[in-house]
Amino acid sequence: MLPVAAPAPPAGLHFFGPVPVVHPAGEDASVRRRQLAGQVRLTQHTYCSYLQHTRYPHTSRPAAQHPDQLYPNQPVRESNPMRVDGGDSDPAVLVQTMQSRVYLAAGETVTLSLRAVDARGEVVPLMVTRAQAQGMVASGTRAAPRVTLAFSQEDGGDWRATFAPQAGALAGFHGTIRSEVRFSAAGRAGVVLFDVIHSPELPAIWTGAAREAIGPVALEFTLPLDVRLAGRYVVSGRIDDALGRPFALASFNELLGQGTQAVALRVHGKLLHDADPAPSLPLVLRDVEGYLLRENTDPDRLLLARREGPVLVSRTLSLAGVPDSEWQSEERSRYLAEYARDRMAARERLAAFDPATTLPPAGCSAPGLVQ
Amino acid sequence: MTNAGANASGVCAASGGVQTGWNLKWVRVAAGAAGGSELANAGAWATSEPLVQDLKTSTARAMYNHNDTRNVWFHRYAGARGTAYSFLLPGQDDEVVAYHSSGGVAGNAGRSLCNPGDWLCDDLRLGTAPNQGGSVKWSWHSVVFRDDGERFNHYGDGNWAGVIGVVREAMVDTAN
Repeated sequence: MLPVAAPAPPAGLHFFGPVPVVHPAGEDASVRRRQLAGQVRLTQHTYCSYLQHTRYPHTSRPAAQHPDQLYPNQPVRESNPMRVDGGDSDPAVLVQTMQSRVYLAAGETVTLSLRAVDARGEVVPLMVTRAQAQGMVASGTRAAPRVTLAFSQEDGGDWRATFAPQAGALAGFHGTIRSEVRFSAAGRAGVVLFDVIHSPELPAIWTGAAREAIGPVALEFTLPLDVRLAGRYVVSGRIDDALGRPFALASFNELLGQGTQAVALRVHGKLLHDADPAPSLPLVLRDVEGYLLRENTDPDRLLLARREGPVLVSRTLSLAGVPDSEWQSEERSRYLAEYARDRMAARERLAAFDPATTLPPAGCSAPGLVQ
Repeated sequence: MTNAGANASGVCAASGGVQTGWNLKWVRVAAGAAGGSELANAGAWATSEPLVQDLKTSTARAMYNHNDTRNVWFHRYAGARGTAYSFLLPGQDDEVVAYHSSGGVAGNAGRSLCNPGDWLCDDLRLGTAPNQGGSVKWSWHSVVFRDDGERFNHYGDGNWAGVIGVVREAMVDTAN
């Protein structure tokens, strides 16, 4: 996987000085000078990195800046010491778990699996003795239904079950469903917990074919959405180049009313023009997921059905007609003005404290300033 | 008279200007559990609370895109004086939050990270550098304090103790 839109941040710049945990007694001039010089470095770095990275809007970002968002349907794998009855753990046995997803839209299923290994990675025989899933509810409210999960062992030794909330008593449950899997391994009884967050209804339905257009500042992929519940929809999609290399993460975060609406996922034009090397065209939009945000409420979302795999292959085969302008907005101007004020104030404080000091260049071309 | 606040539509009573969001210049995070805590994985806390449910490592990491800070820096402070729950928390920890979480390490699951010198465990590296072993931090997250002396735990104890005290010190320096 070689992100092509932007290089990964350079390693290891520490724009803060060492954190002084205990001040030396008195007003030591060298300590004060170090503080002020640190403030100059920090404010300079803050300004320059913001200036550089906001050439593109928050909704259209280089893939390299979102390394753990590029393959949202990859399973979650964890490995922890075996937790045994009584709350203790057995560090000699590691329990490796996998769940295919964390959030479940209405109608979706999740696969859960586990196995045990020793410190050398050798499989330790394990037997699932009981597995039950139950919705988690607030204290003092009526308990949610409980369903039994059917774990079975595969050839490789993993124990696996598929859980479909909509197929049983938890179909209408909204929130965290905890699966408690009890097992025996290495002569002891153990337990592992899997959590998924289930949405019992779809707030909107994907409808119709995705469209593409070249907008004023971006390549726009528009997905029609039939909105049943109005509100703020948060949607994200991944954009690969023609070679399957992740290029960008596009996101949408807007209020939508009821009825047929359009979710626009954009690739900012300048992001395409700046990429070195240039992305192989056509681009491909894939793995779109999203939800209706329910502010100040728990659970905080109702999920849309996820669209796994390719959703749209772009028809744009050349950047000739794609705009090449930096993102401009009130927010960007406001932040740059504020960060510039901070930078100027820090420089003035240092210069006032030590008139003989040489201030670093105010430009943003020094290495490391734009990470 | 005005309370200098915006009404429900974001309009400031005094100026008529519109507040469209929070104005955060930067964020300093003491012992933050953005990547969850294995104590929640193990059911160590009262689990009927939504906050505790959200702290399960797989859930905390799936809830939102931690890289999306609108280009605002998160400066992270990670404590390592953890003893009581070290059997549950991988690598170095402050007794509640392990380094993978307090250090802002990306990924859909936790991992074991330590101070330099532990041959059996990858190092949590300072700044934005990738950690030993290749794991990376969330974008716009930088580790500015790693507790190499294992002096700071998770707890403020009502008196700016633990790693919270380290952040307070840095805040005082910045404000001066």
